[in-house]
Amino acid sequence: MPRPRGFEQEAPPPAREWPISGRSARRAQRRPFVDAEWRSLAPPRAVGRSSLSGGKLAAAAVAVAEQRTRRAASRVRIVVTKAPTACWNRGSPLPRFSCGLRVGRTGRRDPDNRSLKDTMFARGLKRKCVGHEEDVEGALAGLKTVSSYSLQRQSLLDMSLVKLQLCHMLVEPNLCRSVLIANTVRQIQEEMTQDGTWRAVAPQAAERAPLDRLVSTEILCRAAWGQEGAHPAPGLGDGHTQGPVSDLCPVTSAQAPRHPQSSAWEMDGPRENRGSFHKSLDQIFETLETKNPSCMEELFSDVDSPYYDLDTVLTGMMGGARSGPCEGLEGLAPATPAPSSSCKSDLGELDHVVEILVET
Amino acid sequence: MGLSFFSKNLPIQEGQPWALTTPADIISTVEFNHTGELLATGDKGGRVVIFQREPESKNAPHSQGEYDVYSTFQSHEPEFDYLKSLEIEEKINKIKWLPQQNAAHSLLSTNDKTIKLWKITERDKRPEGYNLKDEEGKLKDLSTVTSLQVPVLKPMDLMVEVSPRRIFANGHTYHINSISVNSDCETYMSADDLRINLWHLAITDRSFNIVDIKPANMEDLTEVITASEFHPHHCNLFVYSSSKGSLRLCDMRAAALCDKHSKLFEEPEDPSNRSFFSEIISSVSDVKFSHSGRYMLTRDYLTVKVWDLNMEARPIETYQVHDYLRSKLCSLYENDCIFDKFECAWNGSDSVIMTGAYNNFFRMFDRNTKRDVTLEASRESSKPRAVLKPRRVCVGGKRRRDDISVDSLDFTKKILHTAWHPAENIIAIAATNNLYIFQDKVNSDMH
Repeated sequence: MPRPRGFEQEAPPPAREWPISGRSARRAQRRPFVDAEWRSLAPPRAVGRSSLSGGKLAAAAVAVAEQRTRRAASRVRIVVTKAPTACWNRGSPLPRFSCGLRVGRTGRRDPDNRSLKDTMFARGLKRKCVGHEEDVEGALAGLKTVSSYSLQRQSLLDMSLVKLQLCHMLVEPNLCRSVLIANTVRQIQEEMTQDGTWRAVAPQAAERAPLDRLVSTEILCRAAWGQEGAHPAPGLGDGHTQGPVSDLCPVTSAQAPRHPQSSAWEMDGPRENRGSFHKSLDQIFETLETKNPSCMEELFSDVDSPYYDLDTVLTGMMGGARSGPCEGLEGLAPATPAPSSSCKSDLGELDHVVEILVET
Repeated sequence: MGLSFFSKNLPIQEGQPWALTTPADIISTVEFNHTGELLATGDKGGRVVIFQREPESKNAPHSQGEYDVYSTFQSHEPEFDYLKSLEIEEKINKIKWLPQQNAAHSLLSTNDKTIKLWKITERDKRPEGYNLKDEEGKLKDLSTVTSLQVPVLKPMDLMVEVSPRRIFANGHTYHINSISVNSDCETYMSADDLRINLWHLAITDRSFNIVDIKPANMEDLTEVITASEFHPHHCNLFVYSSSKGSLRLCDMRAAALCDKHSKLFEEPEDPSNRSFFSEIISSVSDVKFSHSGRYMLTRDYLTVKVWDLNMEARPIETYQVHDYLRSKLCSLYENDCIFDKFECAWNGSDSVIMTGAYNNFFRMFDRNTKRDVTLEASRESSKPRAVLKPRRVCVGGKRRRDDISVDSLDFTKKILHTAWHPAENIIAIAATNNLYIFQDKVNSDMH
């Protein structure tokens, strides 16, 4: 089933509530990213009255996840047999870790069949305004699943970019980790290019074969898509490209991200090169922005605030002059007036959200 | 499996509750020497602690020797790189023992930038009866010396002296992740994220670069070296693993710079399991040659794989370590656990492989019987002589009484470093800041 038209022309969401502002980033750095005690936020508001957000999907998702695990296990050449029965006396209760959000001791107990989607999206979910959701309700159920996939992919992209930023601490960052995160970002960018969420078509792109789709594991567990026959989100599982999406050619995005990820890696280069990393990623967005401003807005609205704010933090820390990113951001200003103003003002609101994010 | 492990003694390094763990006490590497008599551990604070196995006592012939602290020394100190304004961590990344060639023991220890060769000697006798000095070392008044005596060696309390014999510095721009001593006992290699250097044990001011994967343009960087090891018998062969899940076997006879691999071991990706995290979980965190030299063991995030050196297309065996985490990759990415580097180990006869997991669990896979077991390294289970009970993680479906559910796993308790005695069924497990030593009660010899 082809993707319904009009998806790309959705009005961009209002200013989001997720990004990490400068003050909050500083707070985050007081407690290392990894050691932060995570607690889940309240689950997101139900998205319309679709059955997708209900418990049915949750149970179905878990069932499919198990099925896939079993199937994957059977493909392993050596089948792992059961361990001998043990009598294990339960000692002190182990600290719980539930999908997404909790490390360390907490009192809450999650039901085992809690929806993966719920816990996954409890943090970093871009919340659309209510009015917009009511409009969408009339559309096919598939539309929502597509947008939730895009949301998840977007949140993954945001998370990755933030990780790349925050890893510039007093000790030299772990190069392997940075490379892996950057590769993930690149994959997302390439897929978004194919989707048209990130439209940038260049003439030479036509020669290249479409890249394989990379789908988040969680999306593979969405039984609803396959079962209801609803329109398939781009690249679900079986790697087929569908509908209008296949017409898009992957592009310069493959080349663009490379040039900018400049001297994040350059350890032996001059220190100010490290700052140009931020600027460079902005340059990617700049080049792609000119092709399709309306889409870029959605992208930039997530990205530019963190750059600006984290950058002021890092400038203070590293003591290096770093005016690049601000210029880059201002370069985006014409297409995204709202984000650029939000990035300079109202840190209080962002701080509040990040406080929930980081310190709870 | 035929192995039942029990704890030889209480955790040797008593740690505090996890919330109060001093970061400096976290064990960062564990290594047995070639006979298994000595066990070296390195921690995040730059210290090395060596344990020695007590010889079996004649009184109780059935109780095997226990490991006691033999020596402790500060190997590396924190440093500051003034050029880049960055700290250099003193954490010991790897320890490798040199084959013993005389009464002294030698080991190489490395942090992110500097490798040091330490010599460990024992002194249990001292000369007494000097002519010119008295017992305290003061010079004697010559007029009181009436006869000459020959100094005699008298026994004294055992003193273990450790001295740094070589310091191999300034060889690496990036963080050293592994070192490996060559079978020729004269050279060793050190690998960082982008380069591998070959050193001679006696020469500290020069090293040869044998692998360099740094791209001309750093923007093109997509792959780093994650681990490397020399072949146990062929002094010209070594393997290095990458963050993309490939292994490269190189022959130093082919060229001075071994950028072109002799063999490339890579398993094609499973398209049905593809996700944004596929590349991250395929990154190889550890590679170990088997004692026979025929096989390699690799550990990526969710599996351990056994490769035959003669077959490059795919591993001959794949074992799932904790496949129940496959659906949680996004969360593990968020809290950085997906970047944890687990190590793996062979037993002496290459029939069993072992690796660590979360919640202080570690897993063993018997290659012959295809059975596996999950054990836990914790205080409750390691009272002396207590037999370890197998554990199980339930992934939904029916759940037994003693199972742990995936959501209850503690991801801050991870077993990254494990080691297996080269000859016997004794294993050393590093759980954060505690060291556990377990032994197979029934079958103390390898079979």
